[in-house]
Amino acid sequence: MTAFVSDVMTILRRELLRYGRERAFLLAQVLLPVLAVLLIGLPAGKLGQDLHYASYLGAGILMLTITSGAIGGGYTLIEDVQRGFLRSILVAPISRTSIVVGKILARLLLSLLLVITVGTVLAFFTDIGLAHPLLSLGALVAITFGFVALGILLATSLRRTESFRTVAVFVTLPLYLLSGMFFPIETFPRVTYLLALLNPLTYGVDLFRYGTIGVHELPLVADGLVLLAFAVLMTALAARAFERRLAG
Amino acid sequence: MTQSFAVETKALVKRYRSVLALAGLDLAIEPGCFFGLLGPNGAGKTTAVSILCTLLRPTSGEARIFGSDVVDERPAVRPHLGIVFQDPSLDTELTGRENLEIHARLYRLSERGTRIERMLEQMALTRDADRRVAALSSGMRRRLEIARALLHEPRVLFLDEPTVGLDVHARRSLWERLEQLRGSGLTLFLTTHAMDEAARLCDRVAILNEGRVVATGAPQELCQQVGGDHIELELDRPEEALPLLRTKPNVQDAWIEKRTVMVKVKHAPTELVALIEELKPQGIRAVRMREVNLEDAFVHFTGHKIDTAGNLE
Repeated sequence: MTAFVSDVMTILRRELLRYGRERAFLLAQVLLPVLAVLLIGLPAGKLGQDLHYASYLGAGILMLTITSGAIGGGYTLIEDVQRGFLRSILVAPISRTSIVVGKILARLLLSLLLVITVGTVLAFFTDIGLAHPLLSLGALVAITFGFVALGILLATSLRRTESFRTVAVFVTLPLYLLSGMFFPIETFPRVTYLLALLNPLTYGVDLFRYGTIGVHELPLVADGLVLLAFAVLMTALAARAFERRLAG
Repeated sequence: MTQSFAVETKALVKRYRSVLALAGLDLAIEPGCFFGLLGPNGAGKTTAVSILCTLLRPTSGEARIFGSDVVDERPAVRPHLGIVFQDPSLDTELTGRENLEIHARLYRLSERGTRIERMLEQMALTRDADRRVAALSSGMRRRLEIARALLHEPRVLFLDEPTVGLDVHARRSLWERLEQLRGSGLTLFLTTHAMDEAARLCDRVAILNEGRVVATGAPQELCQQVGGDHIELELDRPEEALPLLRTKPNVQDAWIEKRTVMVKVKHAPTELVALIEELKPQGIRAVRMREVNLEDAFVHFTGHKIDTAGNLE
């Protein structure tokens, strides 16, 4: 068990070293959400009695940062396969699970750091705060697991990884638009509303928004159950796909 | 199987759908030996290495590293392996030192700093250790990979085509570094299609052809088995010389290669004088002689010539 923990920490260390090399990219991930809230959120005024659209959008955009980062994190695993680096880890006396867990933990830490940084900036001009910190964290963890797994699944199913970005946009854009990240799903037409209910990200956004600004649209129990099922199912599918990729 | 072999395989078979990559590989390599597995591209060298390194399951047969089975006893095998793959496997975003640091942690080594410095020095990389790998030359990257492979003091070092893509200078420098490891107790398992590399580095070689070992022994032994020296003659009328040569009892073989007459004899220095006398009427322009080398042995045992890129001619 201690060996497993130390292996996970080693993978985590490598990931963080790599993330540390991408300063410009990290800066963009901080600036873009802030700009979006400033330029689109603030001028839009109020959404309800006490609810500013800037706060609503801010929480949604934090979730967007988490989700897109997680998909990219999943992709890096397949990148390691292709660049050959993974082979050098696979022949070492460590378990394969520790590789995947290390990757996900690294992404979790980075997302947490980004959310705290961006959230702190947003807190100055919106109502974003820590209404229910544990629930926000739960949503962050579940969505990170689920979407790192989705990134792995996408990357393993594509023959040409150059097409990853295109396909990722194609798959994720509908998920983002139909998740209530940008607008309350109650305002959606009936068909899109139903589609939004089928989208696991909707529940992540809802729970995260409740965690940060105390507002939600769906039953919290439903949020929790769907997110748990989504994270577990996707991780299992991705683990299987990854094993197959290694075997083939 | 006995414990005494560093690497041992018995009737090792690997089949990929319709392709038979290994057709019953038998190897027995003593500890401390510098061993070379020779063969053209596609002969099954990388497949053999992948199985021995626990990355690939054989279809049948068995393979052991210091007595431990590479399939059933992977945790026992892995700490003994040092591997430099044919394709680069460094993290190019990190520096050389960081790559070694991660590796040292994966093998849970103590005294990481000291070990890393020592390896960097041994592979002449100290000056460039803090540059990103992406900025290093291919020769440096190869040496860095070897440094990484040796960091945890493995008992067997696998090098899969280590000098492919390196320039002459980088190749030679790599050989010199490897030469220094001889006698340290380390077993070297080298795959190559470059016969000069094998002749220079290996105590023993096995020639692989279509997934099977067709000859094995010390490079000189294989050359002796092939026997004879070569005399090369450039003549004005080479085609006239052949029938004449073939009647001579001391000539083992004679053929024409790129307008040059090749003659195989038992001992060139004594035959040369007689041959020159004999072939004067055909107009001799130049004469060369050379001893039989590993490349001749390879051609002899496989029936193929191999080009510099490793493909069959």
